[in-house]
Amino acid sequence: MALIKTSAQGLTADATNLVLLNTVTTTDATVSDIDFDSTYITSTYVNYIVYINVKPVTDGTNLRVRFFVGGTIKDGSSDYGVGALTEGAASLNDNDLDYIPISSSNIGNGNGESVFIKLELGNLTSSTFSSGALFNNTSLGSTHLHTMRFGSGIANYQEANDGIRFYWGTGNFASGSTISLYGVKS
Amino acid sequence: MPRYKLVNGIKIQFTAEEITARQAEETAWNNGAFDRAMSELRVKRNRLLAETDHLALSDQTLSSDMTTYRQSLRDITNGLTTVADVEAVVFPTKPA
Repeated sequence: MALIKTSAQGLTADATNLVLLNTVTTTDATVSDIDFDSTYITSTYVNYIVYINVKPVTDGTNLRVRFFVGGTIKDGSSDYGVGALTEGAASLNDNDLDYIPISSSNIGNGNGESVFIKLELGNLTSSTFSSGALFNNTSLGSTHLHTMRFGSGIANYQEANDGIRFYWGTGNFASGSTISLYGVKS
Repeated sequence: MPRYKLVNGIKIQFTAEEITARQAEETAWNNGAFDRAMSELRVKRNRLLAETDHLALSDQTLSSDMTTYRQSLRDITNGLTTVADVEAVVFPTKPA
């Protein structure tokens, strides 16, 4: 879908307005979490799109997302359900997880290795409908071979979220990792 | 080395409680490395077996080479105890 910059506030897609809310980039290798809080996750938008270009410091890990409710992280053992297909690995079907794994499990930290993910978050700020995540990633894994995962996750609670956290299964984000958060105008 | 979270682009140092919680999660992830490696190995092994399943139907005669190949695939997980073992696995060559 073509994106056309129409104003200082954001981008206009063919049928949907995407508003760039924030882009963050790590400048060293000491960052373990990348969060967007209630400054950006507000009732102004119910749906969001996130473009993620990141690399782990530690080889062979996966990228995860969690939500916040009332400023408190949702990390209960049954807070999320996930289904995903991953290239070269068994499919994932788990209705009781404490996070949503949005990338393959073996993202590499070598030269050129990294992961690109498009993440769509639906009903994120709705207290009526469950918040859902659709994700698709392409990456160079820890053996410098292509890996892919696509799938979806759901919050097993009906509360409005007001924050998002991205983190690795282990370790920090490499310097230069970038995440851009867009709000989707209804 | 201190760990940080980037909140809306602003760097904030982890509290001691946050470090402890994250380290517990990371330990759990690291402890699952062998199981993840074995799972991926089995997926590949099963795909290779499936490619020759049709040769093992009751109305087919399986060659000796193919019998050996398929048995090697079935045995490929034997004796593996570490991630390094799994990563060192060499799959047998499919007979012509």
